[in-house]
Amino acid sequence: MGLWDAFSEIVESVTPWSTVEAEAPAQEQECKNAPQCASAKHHFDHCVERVQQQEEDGGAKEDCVEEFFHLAHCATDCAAPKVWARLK
Amino acid sequence: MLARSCLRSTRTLNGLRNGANNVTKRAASTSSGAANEAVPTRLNVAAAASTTLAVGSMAWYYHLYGPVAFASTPAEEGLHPTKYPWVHEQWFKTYDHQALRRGFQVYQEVCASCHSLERIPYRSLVGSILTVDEAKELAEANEYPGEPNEQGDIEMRPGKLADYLPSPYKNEEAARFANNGALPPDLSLIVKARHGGCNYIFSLLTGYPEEPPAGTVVAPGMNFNPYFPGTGIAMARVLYDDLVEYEDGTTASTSQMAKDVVEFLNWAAEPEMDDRKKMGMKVLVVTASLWAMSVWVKRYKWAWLKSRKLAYDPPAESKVRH
Repeated sequence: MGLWDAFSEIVESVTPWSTVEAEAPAQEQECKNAPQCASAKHHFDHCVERVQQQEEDGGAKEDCVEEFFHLAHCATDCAAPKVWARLK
Repeated sequence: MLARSCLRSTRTLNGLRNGANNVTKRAASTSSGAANEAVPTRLNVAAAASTTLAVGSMAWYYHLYGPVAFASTPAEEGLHPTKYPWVHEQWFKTYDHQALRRGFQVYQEVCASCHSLERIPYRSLVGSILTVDEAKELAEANEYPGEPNEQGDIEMRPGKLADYLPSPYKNEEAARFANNGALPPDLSLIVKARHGGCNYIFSLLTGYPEEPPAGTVVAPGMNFNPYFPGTGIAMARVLYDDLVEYEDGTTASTSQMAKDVVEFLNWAAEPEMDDRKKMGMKVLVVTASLWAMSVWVKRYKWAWLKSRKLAYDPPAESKVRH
């Protein structure tokens, strides 16, 4: 049996679907940095920078929800098929 | 008579007009008299009052409508969920019943502490999610009010397959009291009840960001979720990796649990889907073949008419005049 266990462990470690941790956030994070989301990410980062500056100067006048939405929409759109490919 | 009355009416109109003129004339002539001599203080008071009124109403209007209105913002609408390639939404696919079983486990271990599923009886779980014995065992773990005994008191009895899944709270008030005023909705029909259905619920469960975007004000006791309209949701993130241990050894990642539980909730909302698709296919196949048969029969019946040949056979030329 020991030989069989060792063999199945090798098979498990080689097959991609059993080793990869099926996780959407990681995939989305990857997508946020992907080229198709570059514009949304740029705007979001810019907004965060601006708002943090405002907070330092005493009180934010706006929030980055809209920019966040655009980025999240782009990232989930890009990640959806990849996540599904990994889920059971 | 009619003509006279008409004439008279025009006359009275004229009279009125003249009268009005006269009145104004008279008023103008009398105003030069001593009665309405300009009283400076009264005029000043009137001017001041009307100015105050005008300025005040303008200020009030500005107070009401002047500042930038934060209405119809994207935050208010909520982020629209991405469309995920759900297998069970395809035409020729059924629910993945392994996933339903896992999803039911997630519901029981995670969701059921706050959310009821009160329209689902144990019997409907039989055959699609649990075996009969498993469902009976599950039902017997809960108590339900039984028949009145000899003294008329209702005694509690162990659950049967015909009973419905127990709710975590007695009523809406109790649910709100336990959840800081927020009501966890019943999940029986939630997939049908929410815009975006499966995609929305999956996104909601997995979409809690690490921290809300800069500048967002999250009310105390609330959590930021981009997919929830208004972005402030009372439910905190509940699904974390390895929260449950699946009996079939599937990796219980957040997305996997969310996917399974959403598929289970879709089953809860429309348990008839598998049968409906099968019936739909039967209907399509039968009607298509009946239609093909009807076309064939029509052509068969009309064949003699369609294939006949009309020929004009002129009489032979003759010298005889008719």
